[in-house]
Amino acid sequence: MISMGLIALLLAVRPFSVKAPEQKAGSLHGTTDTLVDNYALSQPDLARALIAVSSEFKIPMGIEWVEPKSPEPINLRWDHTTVRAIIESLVSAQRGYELDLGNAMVHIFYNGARADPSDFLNINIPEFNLQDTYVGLARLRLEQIVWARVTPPPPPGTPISVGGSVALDPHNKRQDFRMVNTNVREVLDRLTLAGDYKIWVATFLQGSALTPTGFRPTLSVWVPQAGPSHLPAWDLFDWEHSPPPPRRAPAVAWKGLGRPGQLQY
Amino acid sequence: MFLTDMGDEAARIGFKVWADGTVYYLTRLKLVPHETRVVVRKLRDAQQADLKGNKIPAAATDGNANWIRLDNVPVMGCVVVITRHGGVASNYDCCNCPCPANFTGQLEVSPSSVNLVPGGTAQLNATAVYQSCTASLYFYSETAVSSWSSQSPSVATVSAGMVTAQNGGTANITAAWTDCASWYYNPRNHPPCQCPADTSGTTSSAVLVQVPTSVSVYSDTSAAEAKCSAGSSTGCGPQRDTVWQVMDQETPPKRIQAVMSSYDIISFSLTQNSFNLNANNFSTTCGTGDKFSTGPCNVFTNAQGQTITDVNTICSTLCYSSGACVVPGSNPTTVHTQWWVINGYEVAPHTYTMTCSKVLIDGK
Repeated sequence: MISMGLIALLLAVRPFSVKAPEQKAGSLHGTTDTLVDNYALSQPDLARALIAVSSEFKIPMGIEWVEPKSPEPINLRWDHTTVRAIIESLVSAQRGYELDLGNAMVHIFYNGARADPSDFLNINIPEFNLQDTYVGLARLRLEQIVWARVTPPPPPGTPISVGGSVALDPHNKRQDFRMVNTNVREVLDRLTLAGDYKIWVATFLQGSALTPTGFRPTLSVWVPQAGPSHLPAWDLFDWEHSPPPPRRAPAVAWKGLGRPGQLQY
Repeated sequence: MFLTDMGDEAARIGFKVWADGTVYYLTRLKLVPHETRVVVRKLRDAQQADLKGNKIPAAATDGNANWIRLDNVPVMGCVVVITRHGGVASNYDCCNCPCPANFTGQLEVSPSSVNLVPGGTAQLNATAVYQSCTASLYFYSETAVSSWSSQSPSVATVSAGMVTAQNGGTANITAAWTDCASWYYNPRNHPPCQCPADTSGTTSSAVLVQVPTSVSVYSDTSAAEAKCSAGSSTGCGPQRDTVWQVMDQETPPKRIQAVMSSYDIISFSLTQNSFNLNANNFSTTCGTGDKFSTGPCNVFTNAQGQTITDVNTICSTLCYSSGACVVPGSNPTTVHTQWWVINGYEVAPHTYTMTCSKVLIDGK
């Protein structure tokens, strides 16, 4: 055994650190221009590929995609490029999609989506007003507004009730804002930027007839099969957790929940 | 400080440093044959805690270091003191114990207890305690090479200290390690250090596998009836915000402190549903319509096992009349049952009674 005193410890040489350029709040430019040495992507479909890119590079994203009956896996690799170039090449490799690199969010949507009256995201909302309201509750309110617009109006005098058992965003962020003459897409963007979920996804079904009220059917990526509700659905994701794997069965038939005592619909 | 394995076998080294009143143990130092390693400076700069949670003070510039062989393999140690301006100042080598340290038979397993949910994993660590010929203690991690076993494999299994929870219950996880109890030194022998007898040490850690079984109210606030939007109409209704704590199967139930997926399932009463609530006008954690009462959907409890705030609210035109919130004489009421599904386990339900003025949980 060796015992010794006065061991002189050499001074460490700290490596230089590089400070990333500060990004203005609500601006994407600093992020999308970030240089990427290399990046490989292997995902089963377009939506999951975009979610992966959003999560990897922390880019808020809105995705309106048509789920193909037989999705083609995406296996791509980039070297010495930028985040913007990755997104552009990913979208351009898919037939029928457009890209909008906005100031605060990136949008990917099927051709013509923004002028499509059967796209529930274009539903006009004369006023969306939040006063010291949790983002999670705002999501509920937006659902109820959409629900009121896409279901046939009840006969005059019929009571209208809405409600929910809703888990709020993890950090319970309260918001104050007022949007006028807006639409579902813009409200979703605002709630996405304000909350913990940084990606919204609307999944439209390929080759499906319009709902009774004239809207393109949607289906959550979390739900294995379409139900009878015809209510538009969208999914929210944070940057930490992945979406579920693609459903294997065609998203058509519906099975009731069949819980004891449950009101069927 | 430099250490060199002079043999043809790997050499475990017991090592500790005193600096500024702190003792720091290095428990994983192992040299491969003929390897030379610089030790102290890297230890200080890494600022990693040892098994006792101590770190070498970052500002330490002098101290005292002891090391000893734990295997009967020749190791040479030397200290080179270098001053900034004077270059190499001195070089030391010394040796007090001729043989490796003795295993005391004491094996420490940490943590001594751990709680997991089914499917969860935790790494247990086994540290053997050695004593040098000068009665100085050293610690060495034997996690990877100890013999691990589970008393109840149906509850939890173990491999190299990594515990995987299977089903609810308690399992004792045991680690066992054997090494030389007392080295005998005789310079006339070859080799001069010989081990006449080994000794073994075993220690257990208690693993409680907690199955989500119920939820209890962690915090609860109610808001009185107020104006709200019932679709495109004006309505009124109350709101109740509840944070639920996930509890296990024990008696009495214990909190489960883990991040777990969570969503709720709602079933409306067939006989008490004045507000005509259904999957299309009532939203659950994962959504409305096709997403009503489905899950999971990337919603999780926090690390303390508490659901994020569960807002139960109703807004109805039945509760609004002549520009004001009212409670009609008929007292419209909807009763529903809520089940939380935590990590795939459907826990004991609660009954909600919703009226224009309040939301009751289990009648309260």
